[in-house]
Amino acid sequence: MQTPTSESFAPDLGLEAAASLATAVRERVEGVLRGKPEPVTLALVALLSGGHLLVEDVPGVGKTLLAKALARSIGGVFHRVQCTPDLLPSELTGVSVFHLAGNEWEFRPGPLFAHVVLVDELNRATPRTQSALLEAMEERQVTVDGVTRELPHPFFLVATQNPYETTGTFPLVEGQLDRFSVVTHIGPPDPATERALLLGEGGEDALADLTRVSDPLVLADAIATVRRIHCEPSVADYVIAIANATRTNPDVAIGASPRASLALLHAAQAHALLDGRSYVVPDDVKHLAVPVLAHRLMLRDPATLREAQAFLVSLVESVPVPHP
Amino acid sequence: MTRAPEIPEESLSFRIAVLVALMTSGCAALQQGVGSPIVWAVVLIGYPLAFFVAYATRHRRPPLLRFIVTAGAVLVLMMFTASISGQALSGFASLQVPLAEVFLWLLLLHGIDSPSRRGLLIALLSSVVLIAVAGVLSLTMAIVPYLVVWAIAAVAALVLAQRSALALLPDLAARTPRARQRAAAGSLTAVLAIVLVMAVVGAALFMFAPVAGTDRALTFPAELPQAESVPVLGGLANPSLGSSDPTLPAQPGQRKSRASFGYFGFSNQLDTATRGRPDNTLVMRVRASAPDYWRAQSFDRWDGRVWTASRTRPTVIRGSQPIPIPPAPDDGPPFGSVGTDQLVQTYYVERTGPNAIFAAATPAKLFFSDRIVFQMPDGSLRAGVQLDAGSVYTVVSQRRLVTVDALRASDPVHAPDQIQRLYASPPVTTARVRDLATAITAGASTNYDKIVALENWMGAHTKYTLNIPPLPPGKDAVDQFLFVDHRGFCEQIGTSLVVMLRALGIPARLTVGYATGERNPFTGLYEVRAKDAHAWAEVYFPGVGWQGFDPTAHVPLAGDSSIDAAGTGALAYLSARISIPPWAPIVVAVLALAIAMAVLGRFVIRRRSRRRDRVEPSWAATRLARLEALGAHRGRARSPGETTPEYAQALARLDPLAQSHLLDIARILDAVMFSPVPERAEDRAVVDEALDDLAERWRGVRDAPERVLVGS
Repeated sequence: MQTPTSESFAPDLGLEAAASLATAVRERVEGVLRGKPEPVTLALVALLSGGHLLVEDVPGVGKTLLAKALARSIGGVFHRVQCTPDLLPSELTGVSVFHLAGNEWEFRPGPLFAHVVLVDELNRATPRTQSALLEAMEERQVTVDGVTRELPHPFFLVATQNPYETTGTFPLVEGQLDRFSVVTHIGPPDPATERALLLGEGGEDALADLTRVSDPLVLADAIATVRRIHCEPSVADYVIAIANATRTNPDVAIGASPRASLALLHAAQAHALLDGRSYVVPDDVKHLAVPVLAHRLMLRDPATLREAQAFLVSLVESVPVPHP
Repeated sequence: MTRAPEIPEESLSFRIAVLVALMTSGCAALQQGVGSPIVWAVVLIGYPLAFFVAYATRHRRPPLLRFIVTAGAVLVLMMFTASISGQALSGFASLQVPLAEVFLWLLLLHGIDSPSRRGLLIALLSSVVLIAVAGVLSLTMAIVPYLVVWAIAAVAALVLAQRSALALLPDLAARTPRARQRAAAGSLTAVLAIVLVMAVVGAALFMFAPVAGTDRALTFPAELPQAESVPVLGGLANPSLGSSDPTLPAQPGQRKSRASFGYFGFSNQLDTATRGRPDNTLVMRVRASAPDYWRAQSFDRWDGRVWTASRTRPTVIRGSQPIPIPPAPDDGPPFGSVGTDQLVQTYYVERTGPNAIFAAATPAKLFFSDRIVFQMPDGSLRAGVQLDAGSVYTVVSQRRLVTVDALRASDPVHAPDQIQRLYASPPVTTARVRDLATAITAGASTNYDKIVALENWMGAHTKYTLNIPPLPPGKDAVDQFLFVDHRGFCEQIGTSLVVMLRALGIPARLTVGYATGERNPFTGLYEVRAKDAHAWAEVYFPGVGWQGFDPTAHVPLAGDSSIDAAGTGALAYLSARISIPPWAPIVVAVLALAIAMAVLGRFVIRRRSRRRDRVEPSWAATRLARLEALGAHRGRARSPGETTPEYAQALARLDPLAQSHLLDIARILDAVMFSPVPERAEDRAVVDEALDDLAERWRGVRDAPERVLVGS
């Protein structure tokens, strides 16, 4: 198993360089997952804002393809984990084995030690295994046998799950959902795209031809650059107003946490970069409010994610945008 | 296009203020006789319950509730149809009460169904309707406490509504607490200013608007609570006299007592030797658009002490509403030389009194709840039933527009023989009274001038007082008054005038009734009290008819009287009832000065602080405002939740050719507003050019407004 090591930061990447890198990655991924600009944008937003991505959809629409294309184009180490109920936490993090020759314990890193990790069908894993992911996602480190080990940098986790399957699954708990910065759907392709797919354009074939446009070091710089994208206080107020709207709305049991509003702001910065801007506009915030916040809200009436999204759309529409 | 969802109203105090206003106005309307005990329960118990339900379910409306409200509305309408189809309808008046009841029921349902501010404001508006209905039906000042409570609750509700609306305004949330406070105070000021302006305008209207005429009504009220027959049909009965009614057979051994307020004149006989002092008892209320004397009957025969109505055989008048009243035999030929007008009077009997039907001269139509009335030969009307407290009847009188000239002109003509015989034959009196009459009128050429001369002489040589010595037995009442006592009240003075006129051969008679009474400017009704009972003279002028003369006071001639404003006498009426302490003007002046200084000081402070706070609107702000104005003109206003690019896209959908312009504007404005870099001159030029171009394109164009979709 290939094991990357964490490396020191390179000097700052310029804004223009970061933007062109983002555009290049986007072009490559869209070449593989055709006709789906929105999930690709959201995936890149999650990647560039330093968060993690959860793709909710039925099997066969290209969840894995999206993750693979991302990993391939940024050129990092890519690992894939297929979740099953008997998957153990140590099978994710790695184990220490006794090295007879050296007469010592040697750590064998698990699949989490990669730049891009695809956790397939996350809700099939037991809650115990799911919670092992928590530390990795939030702290970007794992602790095995009392030793804390840093995960490679950047560390980007893409999880998929099929929300329509209930038998033999363990729905994610709220704390875990909160750690995904963006949740997206892919949905079926339109007929033209599907025909192109059948005729051999895009899909796995394109994935095989994909060349990397970056390396993890440059990507880490790009992520750092995103954080420096300018945000007017009025736009920050807009983020707060949206978060407050979810907190004060009587239909919401648990509103957006400060972590959620922070994630929304970071995502808006990434979106601004993807749009080639050096500043955040209210449109970025408004556009991302639903994919970033919907899965974190707990409505008073138990609602599916779709319902929460629809609710949030109208709520965001009622929050006034910043006005000079 | 869907309607924007209604926002549930969170302010409990606003809701309570509306409830109080609604309940007060409902009670005020019910107090005026609208509705049954069930409707009382609806207002007193149902309304609070309905408001509570609306408040409790304001966020989530159970479908059951909607069903209940719908079913209730259908039920109420069914009730209404049943209640009006069961009875014969005699015009709109009989619909009044069922309609008001339906309204009260519907308000209950509306109360359940008003979770939002809009619903509550509609309820507030309905309370205005109810209080207006109560005001229209009201005859007394009993509505005033309701009005005061209602006004306070309504003003409070308006202020709270404004506040609760401000609380939802999003840009306020971003402002400082001070700004929020200032806005809240502003709402109070605004509502109070509106109330003040309304009060001033209302008072001005009240003081200067003419009295509402009653002639245009389609029907007039008439009601008899018990309709118990009088002992002798066509006779006069006066329960207010008690056992001292002279027409009743005297019962030996029984002390003569009477109800405190009855007037002896409302009987078949008037004994001028009787002394009574009618008190302040409110006898009846009269709604009339002009003052007049409310006439009961007249007397023709005088025996030196007692007036008697000599002819007691009435004419029976039958008819349906309204009962037409024919001319009476004693009225003489129809009036020719003077014009007439109509005076509608509605009498609301407050105390059981005589069965005489009061009327200003000369009654022509009568709205009365009995199918029979009796007319005496002198034209006075009597009911066949007792007129108990609560009785209501309406008389339409044909008033002659008499002027002094018309009276003088009638002189050469002779009165019909019958009238001359009945009312002008030489009266029973002393010789010196006759001589006095001749002496006083020596210089007068016309009958009218003779009357004036007699009135003036009596005004100069006798004194009006209720306090006069008893008439010695066997003395002539007129002689005693004119030559011995020199003191008397209306009976003595009126009788003397009639007797002296008869001595001169002029037809005259003594008439009794009530003087006008005091007009309550707030209800518009004349309040007639027992002490307003009165006796005066009526003189026959050939070609004109009977004309009243009151030597005790001035009787307005109908042709000379003018109609005053509705509020005339309001201040006098109030000042007679409210005692103002001498220091009050000083206190009022000091208070007014303090308020003026406070307002001025506030104004100065605010102006200063505004000058300090003033910020020039930024370039982007002005251009964005221009874009919004252009879009609004095009029929698509911006909603507060829309970002600039979204708005630009929406406008581009209306005018696809302007898309590039619109997107440029949005992009540059967003960059100026949200990037750290100051705007560049060329960007400014691009935006201004594009805006000018849009203004040019959209000049005169106005599409059907597209409603902004919220929540979709």
